[in-house]
Amino acid sequence: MPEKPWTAELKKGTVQLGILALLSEGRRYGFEIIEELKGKTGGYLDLKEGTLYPALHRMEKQGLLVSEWVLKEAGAPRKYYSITPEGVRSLGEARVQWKQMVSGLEAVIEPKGQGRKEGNA
Amino acid sequence: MSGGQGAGRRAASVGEYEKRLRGAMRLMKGATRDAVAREILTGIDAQVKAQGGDFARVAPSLDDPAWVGLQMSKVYGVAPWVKGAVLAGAALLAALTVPGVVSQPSEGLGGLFVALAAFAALVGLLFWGGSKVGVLASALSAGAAASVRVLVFYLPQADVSPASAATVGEVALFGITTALLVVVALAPSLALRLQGGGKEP
Repeated sequence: MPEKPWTAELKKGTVQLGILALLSEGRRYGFEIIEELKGKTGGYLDLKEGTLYPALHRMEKQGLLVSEWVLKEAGAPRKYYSITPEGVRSLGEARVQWKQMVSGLEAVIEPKGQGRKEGNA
Repeated sequence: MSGGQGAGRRAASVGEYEKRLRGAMRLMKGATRDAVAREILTGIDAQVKAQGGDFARVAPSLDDPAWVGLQMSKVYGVAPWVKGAVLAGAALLAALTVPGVVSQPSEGLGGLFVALAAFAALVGLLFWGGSKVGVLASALSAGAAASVRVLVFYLPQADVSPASAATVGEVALFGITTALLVVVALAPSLALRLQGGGKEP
């Protein structure tokens, strides 16, 4: 089903965090990142090539990732991405921001006791 | 992401995908374009293999290749030769915008026609360049165009400079149109920056 523009905007901000978190576990290539992010987020982050590759290249230019082409014995060579020390630092900061954002917004989106009040009305 | 801005015209084959992807990245540096295309196509190949080797099964889940190429162009910007060509083109056209440079007499219909046509082409080039080559290169192109225009306006042609033969009103009009060139060149790139989609590469 086509995504609503505001939902896509909401997800856009989480792409970089998702990629950094995934690559902090070890190096991955493009298709692997797509598949793992889709699987681990229950399909929430279902990235396409037009979102993934620009994000990877932008993050590489920012010094958060490095990449290298790896030749395989069989099949085409693959470009693997790894997180840099700068990327690890950014991921740490982003994790703190994310937790603050979620707990802060939860108080607005799901105010305590609101459900009961509406139910009583 | 599913069904996002990349949901445009889908490619019917890998060949068509590559052609349209490369077409959208044609202003990028050649080596960068090749590396990006190779990486994206390798990824699609892996996707196709995972789906049983049939591109048609993967095609609906892919983005419009032209849109993908555009996104990559935003990351890398245009090649230096494109910036150089815009700058040189702007300077050349600016010289032609002064009546009398190509066709004499300057106040004749031929001279005015050449000057007006060159001015229209210059505005078009600066506007296009403003949306493609970034703020700095646009500012340089507009600055070069304005400088050349002023220089040619005050340089004698057949012993008399166009400026010395112009009325006060014509000189004022010349000044205003020259200043407008800078606005035309900078407006698109500044608008893109405000939208967050046109970062200086």
